[in-house]
Amino acid sequence: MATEKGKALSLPTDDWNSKYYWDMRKVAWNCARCSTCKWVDVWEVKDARFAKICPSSLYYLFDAYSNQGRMDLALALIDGDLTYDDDPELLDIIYKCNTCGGCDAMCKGVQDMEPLRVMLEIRAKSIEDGQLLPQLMPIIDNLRKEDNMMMGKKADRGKWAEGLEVKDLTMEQGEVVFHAGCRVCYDEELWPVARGMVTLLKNAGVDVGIMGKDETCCGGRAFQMGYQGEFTKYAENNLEAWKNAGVKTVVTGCADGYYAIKRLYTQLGAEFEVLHIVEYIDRLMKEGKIKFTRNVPMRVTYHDPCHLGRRLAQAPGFYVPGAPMMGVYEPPRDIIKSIPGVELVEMCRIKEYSWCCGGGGGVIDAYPEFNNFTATERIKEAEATGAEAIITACPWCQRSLTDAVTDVEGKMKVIDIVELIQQAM
Amino acid sequence: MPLGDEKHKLIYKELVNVLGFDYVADGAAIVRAYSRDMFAVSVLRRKRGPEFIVLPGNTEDVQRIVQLANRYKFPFSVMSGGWMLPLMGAAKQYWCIIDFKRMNGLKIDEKNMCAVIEPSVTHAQVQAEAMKVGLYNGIPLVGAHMSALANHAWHGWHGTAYRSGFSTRNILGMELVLPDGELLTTGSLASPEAGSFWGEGPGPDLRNLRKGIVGDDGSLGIITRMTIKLHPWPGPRFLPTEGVRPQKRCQLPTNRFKWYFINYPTEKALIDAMYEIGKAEIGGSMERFDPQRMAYEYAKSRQEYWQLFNERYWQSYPNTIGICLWGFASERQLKYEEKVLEQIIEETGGKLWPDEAYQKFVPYVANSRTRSIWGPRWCRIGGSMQTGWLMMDTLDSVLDYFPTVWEHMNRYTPPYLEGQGDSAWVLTFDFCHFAGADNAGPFEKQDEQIKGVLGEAMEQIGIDTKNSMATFEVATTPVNVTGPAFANFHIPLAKIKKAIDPNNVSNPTRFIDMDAIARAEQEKAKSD
Repeated sequence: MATEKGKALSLPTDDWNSKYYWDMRKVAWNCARCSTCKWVDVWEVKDARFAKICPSSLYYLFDAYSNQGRMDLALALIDGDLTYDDDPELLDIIYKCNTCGGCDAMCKGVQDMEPLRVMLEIRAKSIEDGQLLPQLMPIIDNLRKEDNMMMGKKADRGKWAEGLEVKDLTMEQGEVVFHAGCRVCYDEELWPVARGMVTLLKNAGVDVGIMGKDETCCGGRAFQMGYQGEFTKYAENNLEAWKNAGVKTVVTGCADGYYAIKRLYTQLGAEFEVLHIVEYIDRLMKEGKIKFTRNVPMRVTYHDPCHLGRRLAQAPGFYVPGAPMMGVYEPPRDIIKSIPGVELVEMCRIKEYSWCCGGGGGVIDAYPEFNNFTATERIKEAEATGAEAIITACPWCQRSLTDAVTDVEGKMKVIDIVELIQQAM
Repeated sequence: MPLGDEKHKLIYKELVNVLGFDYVADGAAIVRAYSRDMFAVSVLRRKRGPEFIVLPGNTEDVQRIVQLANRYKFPFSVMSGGWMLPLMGAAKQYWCIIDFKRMNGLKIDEKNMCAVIEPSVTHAQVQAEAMKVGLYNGIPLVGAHMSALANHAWHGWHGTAYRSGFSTRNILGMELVLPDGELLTTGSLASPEAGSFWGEGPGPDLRNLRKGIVGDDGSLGIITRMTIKLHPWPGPRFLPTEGVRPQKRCQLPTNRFKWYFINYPTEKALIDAMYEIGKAEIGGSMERFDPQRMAYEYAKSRQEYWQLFNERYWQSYPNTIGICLWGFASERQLKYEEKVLEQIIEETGGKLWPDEAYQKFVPYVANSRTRSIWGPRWCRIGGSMQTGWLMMDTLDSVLDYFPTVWEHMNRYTPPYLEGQGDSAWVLTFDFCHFAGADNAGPFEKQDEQIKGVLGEAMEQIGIDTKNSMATFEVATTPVNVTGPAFANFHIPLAKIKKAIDPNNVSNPTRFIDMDAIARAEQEKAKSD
């Protein structure tokens, strides 16, 4: 027996092997190539067709396009064994990832480390090294000039709320700010969703306001792309603006924005209460301030946005080894199940196992075909449940999924949860 | 590696002609992802990747790649799940890894209780489809996310092998591309239109062209399709789980499954009890759970693993038999088996675990014997693990194995890290007619420790061959090294290899090192 033999015990000499802490090289080095990162938790594989968790691995096939392969590349880059000149495909490999965190959630089950954080740091490093992905450069240039990630004009940011009688927090004080986010502000098809969210809050008695045309990007998507400097700039701007307006609670309907504000802003000293709209509605519903009175006879399924789900447990500084990959899983489900007539049927991959919509990590901008493939996979999974609608709680997911349905001329409806709620009120 | 020379360019062009640009890669970044894993050898050789990665879509593609390899004399190996690079990583120039990701066909034959699978289909996928129709396939404890085909061909120690048999005995038929590109089918697949329900014949049973216990590492042919047996599954279509990863738990229906964890005072008493249980032919799975395995599968983090070590929690359960009774036919069968088992426990002096330990372990770990989930946690303890002293023989030979192994492990700790009391896991096959034991040694994944562990492995191979022990190291060491200790079986194997792989391109140096044999023959000729 290899223990206690009258000599000093042979215990780990590297403290990382007995107590985890963040060390980028150690994480990359310790990838064991077990490939857990490529598949849904084996207990949860309910159908062979929907067994993968990594869109990049499924679409691009070569192992370099998986978390495991990216750890190999990260290690080689850190150690100087690989340079950007060695392979023109290297930058694409780094960016052909939705940063959905599926791989990371699976890895944490067996290795308790932070591979997604490595991938994000490698993006930041590549930018520091002057290696810029050409497809993202106009997006970032526009962000710097126009304060949004949608190639839109700054002056158009507040158009979504025109005619909506809501407090302007650039003019007066208010405790609750609704942060619409870039996608909603510049995607006209989604304007009714955002307007519905504000109306819902107002009707429930919430003293909500908006920043209107002075709202700026949250910086979250820039962070996912590796532009950490831009993220910090916008985070500080927003924090200052909200502080000046007397804000105590930030509400958003955007999962990406929610993650950025709730998790990343905290590291910059933010002390606001941050709620996704589903959390706020769930709270108001349970307080009896929102009631569903109309029957909505519909069989639906729910798509967990990554940033509203597992990504919350994976944020830098928030990871606790051994702790569950908790996200906002139950509030949207509780809401859906409370609507009379609605039947919720679950897809194979849900909650921490959720399949990404494909739009994250800059993929929607840089690799639209990959984005579309990923979203189409999700639509097929939704169709397999027999649902007539897929409900989501993020405008980026809604855009990706809607476009996928349109492309395949499918019948699946893609509905934001607030649109569903409006039908029940 | 001479990336980019004329021969390389020619091979690349020809591979693209066969598969198209999308499915052939030779870029430095792409091949880098096929260079290392957690095992000692591949960590040391991590900077040595292959020159080509190819993704065939079907058996014909594989044949054409192999034909090219013979024409241009470049070596190749195959990969499906992706672990075990020591047996398939690049070992020579112009190395090509055939990655099977596109070959993921799966068909369940409910009537004949079998599944036809292609190489990249995982156990979890087979099981998901099989369970829909009340069937089941064995799961290797390394993880159900690994290739079912490779695992059956190579070495799979299924958690349920006690009942469903050693993995290779579950192979009904194979379609192989031989190292020269010719296609071979075995079992009833060899008869046109007969299907693949029968493993034997007609003619000689060629299943063991892939070597009996741990396969041939793809050096005698590439299996592109396999039919595996399925067994009755008395459980639900989906496993009922609760909690959020990594605190996931699974509750099996109590009217069809029941775990017993039984402690014995000595190893001999434990083995004797296993024999008695096997003779009674009860249960769906049975193994000796060692404290180290219990600790690493149970611990949700590396911190918790070492905390358990300090608390001596699992160390207090040595010599544990874990047996799960399955009511295959009915609830009454389960009740009957419970009575039989409880009588055996009483007669053999076993003591049941306290409920506190039982409730901790069963839903979180033990139930994953039906669908292995936490196996890869073994690589977390120190970053690397040597699957040392792994034997397959009769169950009672385990008693000779234990003291030898522990003496050896003591000598090599460090570089090995302390276990949790002991780390000798015993898995029974075929109602205890056969057994395997594995003493896994974790060590820190650093170059210095790895060198120490490899030194230990070399000594181990020496001891094994001296004692003619069929252990893992022997089975994975080229047969020209170990053959002299085992009736010179490498001599006929070398003839087979030469006949079907005349250019020595099919995973050369693994399984049988033909270059070394040629050198030995030349030296012998000189000395004669």
